[in-house]
Amino acid sequence: MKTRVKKTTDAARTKRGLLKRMSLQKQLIIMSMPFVIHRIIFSYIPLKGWLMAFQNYKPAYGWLDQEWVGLKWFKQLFSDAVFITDIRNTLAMSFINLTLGFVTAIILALLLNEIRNIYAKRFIQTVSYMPHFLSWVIVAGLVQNMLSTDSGIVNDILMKCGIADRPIPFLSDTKYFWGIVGASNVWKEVGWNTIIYLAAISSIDPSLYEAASMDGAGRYNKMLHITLPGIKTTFMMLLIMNIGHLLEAGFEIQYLLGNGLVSEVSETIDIYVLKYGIQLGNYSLGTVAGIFKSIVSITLVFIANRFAGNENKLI
Amino acid sequence: MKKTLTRVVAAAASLFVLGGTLSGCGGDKTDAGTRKYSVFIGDSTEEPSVDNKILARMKDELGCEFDFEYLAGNLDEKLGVMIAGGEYPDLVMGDTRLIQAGALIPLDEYINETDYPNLYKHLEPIKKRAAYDDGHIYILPNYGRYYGEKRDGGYYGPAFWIQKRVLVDAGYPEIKTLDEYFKLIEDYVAKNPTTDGMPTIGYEILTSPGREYVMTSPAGYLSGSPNDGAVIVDQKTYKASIYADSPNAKKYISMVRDMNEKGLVDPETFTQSLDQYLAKISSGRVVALFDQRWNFQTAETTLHTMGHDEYQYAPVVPVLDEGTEPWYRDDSVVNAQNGFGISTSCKDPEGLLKFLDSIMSEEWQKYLQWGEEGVDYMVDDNGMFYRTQEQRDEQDSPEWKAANKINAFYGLLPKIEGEYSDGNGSSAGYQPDEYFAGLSEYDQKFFTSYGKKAWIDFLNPRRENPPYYPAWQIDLVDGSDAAFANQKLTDLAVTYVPQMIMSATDKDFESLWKKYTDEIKNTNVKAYLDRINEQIEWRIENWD
Amino acid sequence: MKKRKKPTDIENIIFTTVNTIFMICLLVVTLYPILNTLAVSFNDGIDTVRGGIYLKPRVFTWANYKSIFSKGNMLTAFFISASRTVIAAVLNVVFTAMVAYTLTRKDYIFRKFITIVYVLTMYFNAGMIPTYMLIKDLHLLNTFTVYILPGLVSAFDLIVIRTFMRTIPESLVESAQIDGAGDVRIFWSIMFPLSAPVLATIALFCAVGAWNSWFDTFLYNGSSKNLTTLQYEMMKLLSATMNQSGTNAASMAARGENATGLQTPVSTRAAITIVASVPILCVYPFLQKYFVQGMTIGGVKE
Repeated sequence: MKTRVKKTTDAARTKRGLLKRMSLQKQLIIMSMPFVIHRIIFSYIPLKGWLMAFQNYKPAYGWLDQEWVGLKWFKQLFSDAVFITDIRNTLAMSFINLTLGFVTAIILALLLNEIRNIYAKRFIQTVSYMPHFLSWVIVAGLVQNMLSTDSGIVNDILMKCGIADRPIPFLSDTKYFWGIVGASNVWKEVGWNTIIYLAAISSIDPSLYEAASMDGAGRYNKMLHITLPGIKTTFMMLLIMNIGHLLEAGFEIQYLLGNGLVSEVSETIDIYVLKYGIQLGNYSLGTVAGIFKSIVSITLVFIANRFAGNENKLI
Repeated sequence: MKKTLTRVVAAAASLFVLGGTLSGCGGDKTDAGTRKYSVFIGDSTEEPSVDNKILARMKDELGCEFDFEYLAGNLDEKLGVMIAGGEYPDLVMGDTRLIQAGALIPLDEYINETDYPNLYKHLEPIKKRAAYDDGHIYILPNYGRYYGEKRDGGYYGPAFWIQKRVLVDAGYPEIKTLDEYFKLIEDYVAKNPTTDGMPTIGYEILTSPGREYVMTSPAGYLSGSPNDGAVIVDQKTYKASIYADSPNAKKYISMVRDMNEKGLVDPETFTQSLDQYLAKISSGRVVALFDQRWNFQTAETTLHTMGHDEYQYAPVVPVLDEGTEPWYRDDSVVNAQNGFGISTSCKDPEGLLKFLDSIMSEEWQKYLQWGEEGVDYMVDDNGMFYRTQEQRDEQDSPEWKAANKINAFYGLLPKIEGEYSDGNGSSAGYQPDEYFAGLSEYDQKFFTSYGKKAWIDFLNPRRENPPYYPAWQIDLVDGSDAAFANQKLTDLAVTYVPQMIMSATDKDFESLWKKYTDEIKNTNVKAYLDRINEQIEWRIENWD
Repeated sequence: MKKRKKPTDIENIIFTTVNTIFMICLLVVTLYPILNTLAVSFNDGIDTVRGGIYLKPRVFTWANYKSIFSKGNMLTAFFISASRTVIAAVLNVVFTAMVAYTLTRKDYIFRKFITIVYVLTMYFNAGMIPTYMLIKDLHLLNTFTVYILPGLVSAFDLIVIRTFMRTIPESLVESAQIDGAGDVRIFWSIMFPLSAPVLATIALFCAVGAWNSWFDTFLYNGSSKNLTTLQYEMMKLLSATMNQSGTNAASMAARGENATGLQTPVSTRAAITIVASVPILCVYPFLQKYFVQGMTIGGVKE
């Protein structure tokens, strides 16, 4: 009881304080609020479309003139064993992508930073981020050619080195698929992913390095004890944000490299939605999958945020 | 730094405003005299260049200009937003979804003999088959209405294909059964283990997305059924049933499996993309395959360019049991619910119909299909059209086509097929002499040795189509259980059939077959078949 | 002193050697796909179907590029793409930095509210049709504005800039406040210039994002000829190399026309990739000067 009374008086006090603080923070409000309203209009108003999940949605009719079907699509989706497998595959591939993506990008950023010749550094950096601009169609084509059992370069090398005595069927064996997707992702995105770390490194105070040199620290030590901690905040920020994307593993590379022999590990949620939702004109099914992903994502982010240190909190 | 930044922001803001005004004048301006229509082409094929000759003539002579929108992504998505928005281009690529949304006008209510004589004449014999479920015609079929005698020489449909060199080597045999066909492949590969230094591949199968039919449909043809998609229709009772789990399907799969055990199936066959498939065929190493010819035509063109006509293919129409009549080649069918419709947003449907009527005249059709006399084709003393070799070669050049053809647009327009009233074929493909002259020397010799005149002579003789035909054209209705079941059946085949073919032991094969057929039983096949049967009945009742 | 220096010298040499070898491998691995695509794009399309093109074209031709540029409105498309890229990058950087600055002010009363509003948008998607209907209701269909407006200030950029701005010493803000500077002024003359590296990064992300996007053109501006972007035009060509619809192709073939339309998908695809990505690839080297170490904190440490 007591606490409740106290709270109301607190509220009354803060209410008066609120108006006063608002007038003090007039400039901050003008700087931010128009954009918040803008974001609400463009991102939140369309959310009324989530109603589709409970309808047999036909685009020819208005939002409320649809046939209501309750939880039919939710039931259909979650009773399909294939969809459950697809959730597993999505989680697995996205976890691999996340881990490999972070590790490789950080290592590459650290190593790039150690290149003394500024032109060599810029050249390598520019080249390494080029694959980002190739579409998945092209990347998948290259991967298929390289891994081919029929004079593909990888099998050629393996056989010449005596590691394999006959071509390994990389693309038809389920045990290689996730690895291939992970490697392709690294290849395409590693250079691109380093950019943000390089920006972080460039704001590290140079006097720290000078001091370390005075103490006789080598490059390896400086990298480990100054540069690496210097990008920790960036890493944590990206990590928390990306944990929310654990149900997004993309679908293009899986769609392009997948085939009947590996479909039990290659299909992702997005491929399922593409096949049974978009291609069949079933918008409701796609919306259900979308809502499911959002709920999981937001839960994950809030959990990650809770466990993050104070200075790393997203919210 | 601050100063430059301020300047950049100002420049950006002014560009932003400029962008706004720029878009403001993006509407249709129509000069007096010409009418401008928006056209949606839901297919992404070659686009005409800006100075296209045909479009210029349409503007000059018919007073019609067009704003084209070609599809850049997924048609399903584009149609979805188009229907939700409720605004459509004037002339739009037909789709049953548009009809169901009430987006197209019923053309039968407009088209009459006095105002649109050419269109009327065109539609009259096919009006029942072109009609939608409610009896109205919303879409003008783009293919399948024949004038005069239908004379085709080439064949682009389904068949088992085998390299010509194999047939030559075996002394021009007639192949009747799949056993004989596979035996022929086996013997040839045993004799010729390498081709141009690379291992010869006996048999190739494609399973890439959208091309699953290459793997799933052979069992239907092998059972003597025509191209009815995923079903076999009993030709007496007209009841459809799926054949994916039939004994014949099992037999085909197990025969391919035997081929695989003998090392005659490409080990990569189930993982390759369409590009890789075409690359392999182009290398000349692939002895045989099942497909529809249009799908691998690019590769055959490459082989021809490289001077390897002997690596190109001849069609074979085998069946499983000797008594069965093959039915690979069908009679032409009206391409119903494909072509253009006029949308309810169009303010001037009469003007558009007038345009369509004009281009259906023989004069325009000749111009659209053959080109300009003396420039794109020649006329001999008997009034017959032909092309010089140079003119033939031009037809294959992408740049030339962009300036002189409007294939993407024309492909969807209604057209005269067969022959004109003066006896000329509607296009080069329908002109027998021109067709034969267009063949390579190798092919002409090959035909003579076989005692045949055209590719179609290698197929079953023409048979009249069943009254409901073809079942593959039946619209399954978006979002329905039937459509869902159909997708599920395809997915199951893509997953299990390759595993069965690659399986090591008979026991594995049997258990996979059982799993596959059990999964089919768990699928709502009934919903799928009900829809198909309902439509077959409807067609039998309403057509002809 | 000398004794202590020796081991670091050896360490440095080993480190440099290993690093150099690693970088060479990286160059090979990342350059190969680019060079391969370039080679394929200059190779005769029919010949490409045979496969086996690696680093140089077997049958050289300009035809693939010619067929792309014969499409007419490529110049307009390029102008639209370039404009949307520049405008999006500049406006996004300025506005996002502005909102991010307000979030670094710990006492700002709406700080938490704003953060949540933005963060949530990263994890849900209303779907294509509802978004389309909103754009339609706002009369943004067939306008240039639709390329810029919906994407202004994205959550990801906001969080990234905010995180960086937090590392700028608060003492700078405090002393400016004592001097009587308002928030607008503090942001514009202190925080904004000091955040150069992160702003360059975000500018790059926005520019690349704007340059690469084609889906908005596809949905909203597809029917406005002079508003389509380069990527959209490329996407059209690209889909022409991917899906030839079966029924029509078969019928066209029967008429003796070339059924496959674009006969040379692989080479055309490669040429499209080159045309679509080279202009934007040129942006990064210009932004790299903002990544020089110590230009921020070190520079302001009085």
